[in-house]
Amino acid sequence: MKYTSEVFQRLSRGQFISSNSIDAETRAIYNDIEDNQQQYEDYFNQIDFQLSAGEGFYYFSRKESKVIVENKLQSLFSWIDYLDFLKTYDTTFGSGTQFNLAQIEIRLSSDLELKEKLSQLFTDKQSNRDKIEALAQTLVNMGFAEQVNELEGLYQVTSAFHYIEQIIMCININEEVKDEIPE
Amino acid sequence: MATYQSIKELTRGLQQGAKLLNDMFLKRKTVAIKYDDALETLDGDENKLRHLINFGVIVQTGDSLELDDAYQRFFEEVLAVNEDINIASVQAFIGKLKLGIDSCLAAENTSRKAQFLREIRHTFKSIENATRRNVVDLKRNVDDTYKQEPNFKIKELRLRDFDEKAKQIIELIKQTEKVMDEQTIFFASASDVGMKQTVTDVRVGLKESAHGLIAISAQIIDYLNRIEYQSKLVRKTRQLKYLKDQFMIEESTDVKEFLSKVNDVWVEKQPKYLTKVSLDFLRNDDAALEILCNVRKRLSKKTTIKSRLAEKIDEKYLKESKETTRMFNHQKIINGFLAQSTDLFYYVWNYQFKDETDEENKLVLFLQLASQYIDSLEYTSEYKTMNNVEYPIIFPR
Repeated sequence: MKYTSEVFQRLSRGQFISSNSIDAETRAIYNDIEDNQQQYEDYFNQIDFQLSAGEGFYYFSRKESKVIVENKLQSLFSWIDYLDFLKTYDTTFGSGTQFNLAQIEIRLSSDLELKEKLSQLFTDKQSNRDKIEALAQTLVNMGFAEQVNELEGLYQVTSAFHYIEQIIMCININEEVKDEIPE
Repeated sequence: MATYQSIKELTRGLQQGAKLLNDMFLKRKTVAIKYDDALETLDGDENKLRHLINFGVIVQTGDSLELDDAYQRFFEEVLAVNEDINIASVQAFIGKLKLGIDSCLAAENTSRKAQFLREIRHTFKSIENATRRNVVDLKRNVDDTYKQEPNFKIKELRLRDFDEKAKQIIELIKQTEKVMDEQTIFFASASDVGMKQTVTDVRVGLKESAHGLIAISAQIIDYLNRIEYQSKLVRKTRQLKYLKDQFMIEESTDVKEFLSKVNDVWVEKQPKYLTKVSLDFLRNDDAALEILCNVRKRLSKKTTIKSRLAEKIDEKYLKESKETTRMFNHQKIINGFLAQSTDLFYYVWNYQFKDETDEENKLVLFLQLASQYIDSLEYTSEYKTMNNVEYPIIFPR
């Protein structure tokens, strides 16, 4: 357990640590957790955090909720919007995907649906560029993406992105409503 | 159509048009080359182009040119870039193999036998090569399709087709092995020295190909699963987004129930950890000195802000002062006008203003009144002139 402080700093803020990170330190932290998972779990249990593992990523959860369901819904709703936008941009958008802010911007000019979807995101931002940047920054803050090249605005999606995909897949839609949703 | 009589002739012919052929091969999937463009590529040498067309290397349809199918296939196969997995050829080879063996058994003299045996060896080699090539092509095509095909549906269809092809190739390998197993006595008794070696080589080669195919099949299944997962995910995301936008998501899904069980830290507000500095540390540690200096600096900045306050506002800006602007009382003038019978211009021109009023102001006033009180005025179509000013005659209504 060499990285207890780093793990706490990142995970207690709601971030994720991914196995396929491009940052050597993050990878080292991931490997250390993997090697000493039980010790880390016991260690953080004492301060009320549960170390949880997904497909190539770690995160913190709790035994008892500290947030009311309404607030959780709000957090999730934002992510439904983001994911909808990202999947419209690239249907295979997921762990390992590289995306470039300039490319997204170019696509906007030819894809009205994408533009429409973006206009509903980050309403506090004016320009499309600002909105795309805000989205990339949100992904980075959560640990879902990492900046590969600042000059080119190139980002890479981490394996933690599976987390949000799994959440989406876990929600069940009532059968009778399913038929009413247009394709 | 002329045909090449020797390899030498063929290679020379191709060499002459190499530049154009290369160009056409690169664009074989995208565009047909125009006759004039082709001529330009060959530096305007029409003889070379006509030669290629005459010998059937290039097919001309109207104004556009295309590589002949036989040559295109040849180039693709030699350069190992063909997309078609040709199973029919292997099937044909197997037929040829059986025919060769039967012929050999029926042959009476040794020289005919030897000839058939050589043919059989060649066929075996061809089977092995074609199978190996098919496996390599299949692998490349599977990867390319998965990575480059943007359309989910097409991607899935093509991968399923490749899966089918892989099964067929395995079947052909089995058939070839069966022929070899059934004819063990024939091969053992064959007098051809190379035959045993060839059969062993082919067996090993086919085994390798079979292993490769098993790996490809597994890969295809993995790709298909990923496509299935991705398309499911996209559909689910769209559905949830729709329900969310229609404000139906809470009623139509189990999202609330699901979230009540999710206690992950990311849904919480991001905490800020504020820790106070230890007093012991401030008193005893040298490092604390720097911190204290920083704090002192920041505090002194606050005082400088205070000292930079602006000066008192000058008294003269606070005193009341008066400014008089002259205005016409339009309502009063028009009331006066409506009570008499002269026209508006004459009335304004001769009005007894309290102060001296120049002609320009009078004119402006006339225009203002004429446009402001349209309902109370009657506009005639007559015009008069006074002091070089032409004006319409307007009466009270």
